[in-house]
Amino acid sequence: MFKRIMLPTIFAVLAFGFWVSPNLSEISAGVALFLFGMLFLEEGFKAFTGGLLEKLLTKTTDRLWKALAFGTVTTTIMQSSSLVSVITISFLSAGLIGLTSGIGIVFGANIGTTTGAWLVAGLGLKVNIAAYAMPMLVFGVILVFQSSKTLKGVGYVLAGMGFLFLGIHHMKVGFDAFRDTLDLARFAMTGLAGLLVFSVIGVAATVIMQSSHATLVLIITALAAQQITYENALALAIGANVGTTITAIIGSLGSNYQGKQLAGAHLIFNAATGAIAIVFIGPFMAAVEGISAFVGIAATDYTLKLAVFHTLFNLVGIAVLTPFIKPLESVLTRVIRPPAEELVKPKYLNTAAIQFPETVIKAVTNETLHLYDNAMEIVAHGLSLHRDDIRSDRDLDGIIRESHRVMDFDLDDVYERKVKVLYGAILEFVSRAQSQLPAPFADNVYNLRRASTLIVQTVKEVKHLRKNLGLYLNSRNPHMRAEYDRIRYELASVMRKLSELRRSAAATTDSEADVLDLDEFKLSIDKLERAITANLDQMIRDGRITPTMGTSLIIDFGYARDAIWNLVSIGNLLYGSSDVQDKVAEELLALTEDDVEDIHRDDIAHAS
Amino acid sequence: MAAKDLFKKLKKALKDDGRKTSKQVKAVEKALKKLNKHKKKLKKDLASASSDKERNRIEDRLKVNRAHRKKALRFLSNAMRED
Repeated sequence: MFKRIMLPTIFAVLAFGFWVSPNLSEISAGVALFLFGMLFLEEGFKAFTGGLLEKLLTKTTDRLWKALAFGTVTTTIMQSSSLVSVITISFLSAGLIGLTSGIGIVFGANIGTTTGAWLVAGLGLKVNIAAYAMPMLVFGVILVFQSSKTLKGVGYVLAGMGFLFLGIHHMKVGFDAFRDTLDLARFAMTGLAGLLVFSVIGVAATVIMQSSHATLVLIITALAAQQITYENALALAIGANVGTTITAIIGSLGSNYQGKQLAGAHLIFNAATGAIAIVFIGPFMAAVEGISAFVGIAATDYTLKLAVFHTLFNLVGIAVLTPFIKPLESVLTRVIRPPAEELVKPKYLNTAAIQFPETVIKAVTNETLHLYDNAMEIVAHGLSLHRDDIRSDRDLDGIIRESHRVMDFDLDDVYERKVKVLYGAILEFVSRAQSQLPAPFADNVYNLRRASTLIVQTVKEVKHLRKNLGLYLNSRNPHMRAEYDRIRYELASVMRKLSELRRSAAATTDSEADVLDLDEFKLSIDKLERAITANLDQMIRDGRITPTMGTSLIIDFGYARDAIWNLVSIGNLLYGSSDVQDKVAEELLALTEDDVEDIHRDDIAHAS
Repeated sequence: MAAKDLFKKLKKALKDDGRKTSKQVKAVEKALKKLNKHKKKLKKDLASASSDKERNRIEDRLKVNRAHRKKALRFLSNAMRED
C-alpha cells in the first residue's frame, strides 16, 4: 500500500516543484544525473567481477583488519558502498567469507564512502568539473559500444564518472541560482531540535535517493551555496549515514538470511555511530575545528570541514564498535536464523540405523526414495508439469497439451535445499556404514548410492533442458512447440512408469519383467533423436525452424536422452528384484547402447 | 601359506564360482520364461490395438522383448558351451 502511494506522491511533488521553480528542476536533474552515473559506475565495476575482485576479496579478508582495509579501499575506488555491500552479501551467501569478514568490509565501506565528501568538497566545487565530464562521457560511451568486456567496463566507469561530474555541476548551478530567488537558510534550526529534525531529513533524503553519496553531495553543494547552515549540514550528514542502512535493509529483504544478518550489522553500526555523533556533537565540532586548523583548512571553508566531520565520526564509530564485532556476530546469528524450511533434513539416516546391515539397507533405501521424491518434484516442475498429473491415470498427451505455463521457481535454490543436502547425507552415511557391511549388503548399498548419483545427475540434465524449454514451450513456432512437447511426453512417461513400478514393488517382491519393460523408453527416445537428426536439415531448408532452433533441439534431445537413461537405471536399481541372482539377471539382460543400435539396424534391414 | 592350504582355498573358490554361475543360469532361465509369457501378452495386445500410435508403441515393446530374449538365449548358450 505504502509503496503504491509513494511513487505517485514523489512524482506529484516533483512536478509541482518543477512548475514553481526552474532551479529545483536543475538541482533534481543534477541528482538524477549523479545517480545515473552511479549506476554506470556499478555496471562498469561489475565487468571486472568474476576474476580480480573475487580473488582480492577471498585473499584479503581473512583477518578483521584486512576486511576493514578492503572495505575502505574498494569503496574509495568504486565510490559506491552499496556495490561493495552487494558483492559482500553474494560472497557471504556463497560461503567464501564469514560473517565477521562481511561485517569488517561493511564497516570499512563506511570509511571509504567518506572519501566522496573529500573529493566533492575539495575538488568538485573548486574546479569546473563539468569541463572534464564532457570528454569522459564521449570516450566512455564509445567504449561502451565495444565488444571487449574489459573495454566495455572501462567505458561504463568513464561515462559513470562523467555523469557524476555533470550531476555535481548541475546541483551547484541550481543551488547558486536558488540563492538569488529563495533563501533556504531561513528554515535553519539551531540547538537539539535542529540536530534531530535535520538528521531525520538526512535519513529521508537518503532513503528516497537510495544513496548516501548522492545525499552528501547535495548537502555539500547546498552548503557551498549557503542554502543550509553548517550545523544543519552536519546533522544531515549524520542522517545520511543512518539512511543508507535503510537502503541496505530494503535491499536485503530479497536476499537470504546471511544478507539480512549483514544488513542488521550495518544498521546497528550506523545507528550507533549516528547516536554517538548526536550525543557528542559539541566535542566533535571542537575536534573538527582543531583538526581543520592543524591541516590548514580555512575557518570559513565549511564544505571541507563537513568532510572532516564525516570522516571523524565514522572513524570514532569504528574505534568504538570494532571490539564488539564478535558479540554482534553472535547476537545476529541468534536473532536472524536460517529459515526452518530452508534445508531439508534426512528423515531416515541416524546413528542407530548403522548398527545392523538390515537397518542400514532399509535406512538408505528410504532416504534414496526421499531424495528421489524431492528430485522428481524439480524434474516435473522443470518440465512445467505437476507430479500428481504424472502419477495419475489421465491421458499424458492431454496433460502435456494443457500444461504450457512455465513454472517460475529457482531450480538451483531448490536443488541446494532439497536434493544436494540429502545426497551429501546419503554419501556420508554410506561411507561410514560400508566398511562394516558383509558382501551382499555392501553390494546393495553400493547400488543405492549409484541410484542417488543418477537421481542428482537427472536433475542436472533437466536444469540444462529447462533453459530452452521455457523459451519454446509457448513459442509461436508450432514445430518447436511440438518437439519440446515430445521431450516432455517421453520424460513424463518414464516418470509415470517408475511410479507404477514403485507401487507394484511395494505390493509384491517379484517385479522383474516390469523393470525390463523400462527399456522401451531407451528405444523410444533413440528413435525420436534419430528422427530429429535426420529431418533437421530439411526443416532448416524449408524455413520451418532456424539453425539456432535446430542447435537447441539437437542439444536438448541429448539432455533428454541422458535423463531417460538415468531414470531407467534408477528404476532398475530401486525397484528391481530383491533377489541377488535375479537382480544380476536383470542387469545382464538390460539393453545397452549397442543393443539399441542393433534394434535400429534390424529396423532398417526389415524396411528395405 | 602352505601349498596344501593354498590348494584348498583355490578349490573352494572354484567351487563357489561354479555354484554362482549355475544360480545365474537359473535366474536367466526364469527371466526368459517371463519374457516369453510377456511376448504372448504383447502379441495379443497388438492384435487388439485400436490406434496407430498404440500399435507402434506395442511393436516397440515387442522389439525390446525380442532383444531381451536374444540376450538371454546368448547367455544360456554360452553357459552350456562352457559346461
